[in-house]
Amino acid sequence: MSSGPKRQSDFLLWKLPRGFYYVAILVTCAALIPPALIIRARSVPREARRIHIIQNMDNQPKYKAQQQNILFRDGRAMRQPVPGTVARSQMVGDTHFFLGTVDGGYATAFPDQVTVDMDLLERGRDRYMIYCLPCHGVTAAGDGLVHDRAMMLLNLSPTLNNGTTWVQPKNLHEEAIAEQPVGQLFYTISNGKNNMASYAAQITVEDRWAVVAYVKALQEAGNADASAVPGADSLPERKMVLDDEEAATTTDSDATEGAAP
Amino acid sequence: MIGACLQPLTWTLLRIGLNYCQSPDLGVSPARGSRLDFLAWAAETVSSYFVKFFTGCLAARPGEFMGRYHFVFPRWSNLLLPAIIVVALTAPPYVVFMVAWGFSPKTTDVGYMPTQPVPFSHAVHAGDLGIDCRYCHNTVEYTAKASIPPTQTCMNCHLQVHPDSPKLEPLFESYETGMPVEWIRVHDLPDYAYFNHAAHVNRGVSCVECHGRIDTMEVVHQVEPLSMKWCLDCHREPDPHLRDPSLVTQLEWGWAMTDAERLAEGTKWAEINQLQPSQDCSTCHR
Ligand code: HEC
Ligand code: HEC
Ligand code: HEC
Ligand code: HEC
Ligand code: HEC
Ligand code: HEC
Repeated sequence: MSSGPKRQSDFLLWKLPRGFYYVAILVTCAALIPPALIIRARSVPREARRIHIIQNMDNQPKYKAQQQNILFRDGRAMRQPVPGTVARSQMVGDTHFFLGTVDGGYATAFPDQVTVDMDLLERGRDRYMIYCLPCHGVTAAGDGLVHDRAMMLLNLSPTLNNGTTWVQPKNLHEEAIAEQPVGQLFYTISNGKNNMASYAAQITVEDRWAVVAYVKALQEAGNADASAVPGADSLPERKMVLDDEEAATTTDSDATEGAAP
Repeated sequence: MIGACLQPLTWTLLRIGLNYCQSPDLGVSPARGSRLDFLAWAAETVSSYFVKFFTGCLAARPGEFMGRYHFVFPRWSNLLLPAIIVVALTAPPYVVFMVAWGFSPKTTDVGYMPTQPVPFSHAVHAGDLGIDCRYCHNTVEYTAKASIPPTQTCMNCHLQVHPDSPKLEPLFESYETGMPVEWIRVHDLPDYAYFNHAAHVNRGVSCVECHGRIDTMEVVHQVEPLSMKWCLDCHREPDPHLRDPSLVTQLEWGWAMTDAERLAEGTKWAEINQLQPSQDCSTCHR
């Protein structure tokens, strides 16, 4: 286009009809929608169901644990045993091991199936920290975090705490409980006591005995003399509530001796 | 082009319309006589239009249409070729990328957060109250499943704590009737994949590696894609994910470590426990 003076630019793009611009802008915007949706889906938790494009055998006609089965009135695919069924592992002929009682009274010694040694106490500590710690606290003084929270709730008005009532979990160092035979502790864990629920469903029989051994060791440790701890001279005076670490070291050294009834 | 065809047509229709309005039946001045006349006239006009149109097409020399227009491609149409090339080069990769990115499990699965029948908060129970995961998910160490706790487990505390709470309504109903609370499943592998919690938890793979910081979540959501690639990535290179098996439920453990320290710790436990995660298909597809 060399001929003649031209006011308009020669650049072809400026000569495109308007419609092309609009279409181009629309298409670009439309092309941005999928990435925007994807980025959103990747960054924000959402309630929408998962999308599975290829569903081959994702859901097979079988039931897995805790699934729903609408054939049954309660909707459980896992069926309960017929009432009165006793599995062989639940046979309670051996009342000492399974119930913690001997001839109608609480057992005073550990049953033959469990050997009280360091392994059992370690196991007991592990289980205690899972199942008892929330209420009874690290040192079994009855000051766990759930207890603290419940006490805070009690100070609120009943509309805010929805009628919370709370009985303090027992301080297991109390005279009355420290004197209890091992069988009675086992019985308490298995069947609950007043406001404390049964833990039989959550803890196996062996582990319950391990917890009993650990509680015994804790009680022993709570009342132990400082001289029982190696290097005791360097420690401060005995406190009512031990620090975690202190409690741990004390129990370790006292445990074996304390737990054998 | 289209305009060229339409213009005569519009004119024709307009003229038919005008004449119709002037037809005697409507009481307007009779320009063309009776209605029959009008119809005849309309038919003639339309047919003549089509005759004109087709002969115009046939007779046209290049660039000439119905004797009226001289059509030439405008100069800007030179742009169409580069435009088509650009579109052809970007569209397929765009589509491929969007499909791969959009349908990856990281997009479709991660972040799934259903609303549960009871607004149960792990941040309160596992975080603030410090309850160990195994207090509720107590089968996790023994079996493949980390079962959702039964109503009784909640009742250990909630018979006393918040006993009138409306939020806990479904729980109390379940406690009284024996019907289960209908929790909605969050993590769900396809039925053809076999997974085992005990195998991982007892060998020092923490919950946090697969479920994220559950103890800070108000509502549980899925954090990892749970795809086969994700499983295998760890089975090939487990060391950075391992720890002391007694610390698996301490989700915050190791947050202050550097990567090197963390790796050293993992390597140590891989050696102690002689870990060699299998990559055979039959491990997970059985
Ligand atoms: C939900 C909180 C809670 C948990 C968890 C809990 N307890 Fe208790 N426990 C209590 C309360 C509350 C009492 C006081 C019961 C009463 O006298 O009303 C109690 C009392 C006891 C007693 C004294 C029983 C008596 O003879 O008076 C023992 C022993 C005991 N708990 C052991 C345990 C052990 C062992 C565990 C862990 C397996 C455990 N508790 C877990 C709340 C709890
Ligand atoms: C007080 C009991 C309790 C404790 C403690 C607890 N959970 Fe849960 N958990 C539940 C309940 C009830 C559900 C089902 C409701 C839901 O998904 O929020 C659940 C759901 C889950 C799910 C989702 C399951 C699914 O549907 O895929 C995961 C994962 C999980 N818990 C992990 C943990 C981890 C990890 C911890 C320890 C930090 C923990 N939980 C501690 C009660 C508990
Ligand atoms: C070891 C004790 C304990 C167990 C077990 C427990 N909770 Fe709680 N829960 C608490 C405490 C304490 C609170 C009060 C927290 C607060 O208000 O700050 C609470 C609060 C709640 C709330 C909020 C209630 C409200 O009105 O604000 C819900 C919902 C709840 N729990 C559901 C559950 C469910 C479901 C389970 C069973 C999987 C369960 N809890 C098991 C101790 C427990
Ligand atoms: C190696 C990864 C991994 C680890 C470690 C892991 N989980 Fe899971 N979890 C999964 C997968 C995968 C599923 C889905 C299982 C299915 O759909 O069959 C799942 C499901 C669950 C569920 C839902 C119920 C079920 O069993 O299907 C709960 C609850 C749960 N996990 C809790 C836990 C807790 C608590 C821990 C730690 C003690 C833990 N998980 C450790 C991968 C893991
Ligand atoms: C964070 C690491 C990690 C992730 C993620 C992981 N695994 Fe594993 N897995 C392991 C380790 C470690 C072992 C134990 C290997 C050993 O015992 O030598 C294991 C063992 C297993 C076993 C049991 C093998 C046996 O001995 O019985 C199965 C099955 C398995 N994994 C399936 C899966 C599946 C399915 C997934 C994905 C949903 C998965 N794993 C994700 C680390 C992981
Ligand atoms: C560590 C466990 C693991 C191992 C080992 C493993 N897979 Fe998988 N695989 C999975 C999981 C989990 C899924 C489901 C992923 C999902 O949710 O999309 C899967 C999905 C698949 C699918 C996808 C089906 C579909 O429609 O998307 C195929 C095919 C498959 N696996 C084949 C294999 C083969 C072949 C091997 C052996 C080379 C193998 N897998 C080894 C865990 C495993």
